[in-house]
Order: sequence, then structure tokens, then C-alpha cells
Amino acid sequence: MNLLVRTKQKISQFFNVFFGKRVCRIGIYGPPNAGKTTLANRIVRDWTGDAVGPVSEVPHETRRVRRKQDITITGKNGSSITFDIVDTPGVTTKIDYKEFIEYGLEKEEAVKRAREATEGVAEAMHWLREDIDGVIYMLDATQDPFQQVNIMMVGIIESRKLPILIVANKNDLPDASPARIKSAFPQHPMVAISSLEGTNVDELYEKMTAYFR
Amino acid sequence: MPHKCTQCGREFKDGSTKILKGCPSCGGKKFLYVREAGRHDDVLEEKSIEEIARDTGEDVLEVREDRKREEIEVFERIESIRILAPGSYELNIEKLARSDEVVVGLEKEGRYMVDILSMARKRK
Repeated sequence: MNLLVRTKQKISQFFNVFFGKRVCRIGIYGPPNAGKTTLANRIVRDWTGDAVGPVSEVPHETRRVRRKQDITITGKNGSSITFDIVDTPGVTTKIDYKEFIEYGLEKEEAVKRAREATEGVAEAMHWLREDIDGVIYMLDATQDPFQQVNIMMVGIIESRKLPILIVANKNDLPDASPARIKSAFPQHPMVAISSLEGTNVDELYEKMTAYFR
Repeated sequence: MPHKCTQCGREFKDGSTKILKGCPSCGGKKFLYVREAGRHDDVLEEKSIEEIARDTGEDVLEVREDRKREEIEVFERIESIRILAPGSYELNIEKLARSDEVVVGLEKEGRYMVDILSMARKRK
């Protein structure tokens, strides 16, 4: 099976090069600390055995956009898609170094992190403007989804006419409420997962093969 | 063989990193390296460490605070507007001219407000 998938991947890569077809780029967007990099790591590990980047409980761990190319995932019915996964820094409207100091960072380091995080937001938005074909919008299911930044981001992605898959993450936590996430964005398909524990990611892969084509 | 603070005489173990930030007791910045033989000279001879240093002509270790990092020049900043205080602004003309993306800096470095909508617009 694995060999078959790999052969298929090679053939599709060959055709992509030959006909100049660009691989679909799926961006993982969402507020800081939603678990974007944890999910990106899981997708990449499940399908290529590699990793994307480090994760941490301190917000804004990912401050540069990271891309992993040519990932092919196959659903149960055999349909597969090949895409690049783009892990982006958390998009937020306010960044304050004092927040990082609460996590035990030294002031100078916290100020630097705030600066890099701000540049990261700009970079994430730049990718969204230029290079993204589909979006996984990731939310922490234990948090209130009705925040201005989420409403605004989903609106921006909709206005670009990009397909959005809402992912309600952190369902391993007791106070997670995927229903609340669903009620916030009923117009888009949603999957409730735990990217840390890997719960329900198979359903996510199914939805991805069906939705991003 | 320890260091002693020239100001209050507090003794520090050899190789102690505590003194790099100044004496924790009195905040003194100068330390004399005393030999084992002369370790109690200050008490026995009723002299201050400073006097011993002067008498023996030994060099005194002076720790300086790290020089504060220079303020980042306006043109290197990431924000287009900085609000120093209510009613007091600094404009980053170069950044404003270069792009429509608006990042507002608040007070000193490290606090930012990001205008996501301005970053979502396609450039004309």
C-alpha cells in the first residue's frame, strides 16, 4: 500500500513538473496557542515521517511561516490530494511582551519575542494574500470563538473565496466545547480533534481529501 | 581564595558569579581578590578592603552593568506609528510610504497593535 502511494506521489510530482501545475497550498491559520504547529507536525509526521517546528505553551512560539512541500494524504475511499502545508504564526491584534514575562521570559527576550511575533503576523497575512489556496482555521475549543480577530480572519478568507475547514482543537481538555465553535461558524465544515493526542485526525484527513481539491 | 567587596567587606567564594551583578548586600561594584594568607587582614588590621587594596596596590575588579541596548532607530522599527503617550506620536514615514500595513507600537518597545485588515488588502 505504502509503495503504491509513493509511486502515485512520484507520478503526480512528475506531472506537476511537466505541466507546470502548482501544488495546492493549505495554510493553517488561527490565533496564537491554538495548536497549529502541533497539528502541522502531526500531519507531516503521519504522512512523511518528518516534523515542521517546535511547540511550546508560551504563545507565539512560531514566529516565521514554515512550509512542508508535497504531502500526499489518502482518504479511506482511496481519493488522495497532494499539497504543501503552511504553518503560520498565530494571528492576533495585540501583542504585549508582558504576557511572555508571565511565562518566565526575561524582559529583553520577551521584547524580542513580541517584535518577532508582530513580524510573524505580517508574514502570515502576506502568505494569505499571495500564496494560499485553502485554509485550515484552527481554534482552541476551550476558548470563546466569538473574538473579533476570528470573525475578521474568517471574513477575510471568505472574501478571498478560499475554502475554509474549521478545526476545533484541544478536545482532550474537559472544558472543550466544539459545539460552540460550530455555532460560531455554521457556514463552514468543522472537525473536532485533539492534535496533541491524535484524536479524530482521521476524520480531518477525510474532510481534507474531500474538501480541498 | 575569595573576592571581597570593597564597600562592605562581604566575602564571595572563588568563582562566584554573584558578584557579576554587583554585591547583593550593598550594591558595590568593586571587589578585591584576596589571597588565602591575607584573607582576614581586613579584620585583624582593622582596615577596610579599600584601604588594603590601596596599600597592597592590588588591582580591584570592577563589574560594570551591561550597557543598555540602544534604542532601535525609527527606520528599523516594525511599527508604522508609535504612541508614546496619549496625544504623543512618532510616525515611521519610511514604513508608511512603503506599505499600507499598519502596526501601532504602544509606549516603549514590545507592545504592538496589529491592523489585520490593512494586511489583508491586495497591493494596488
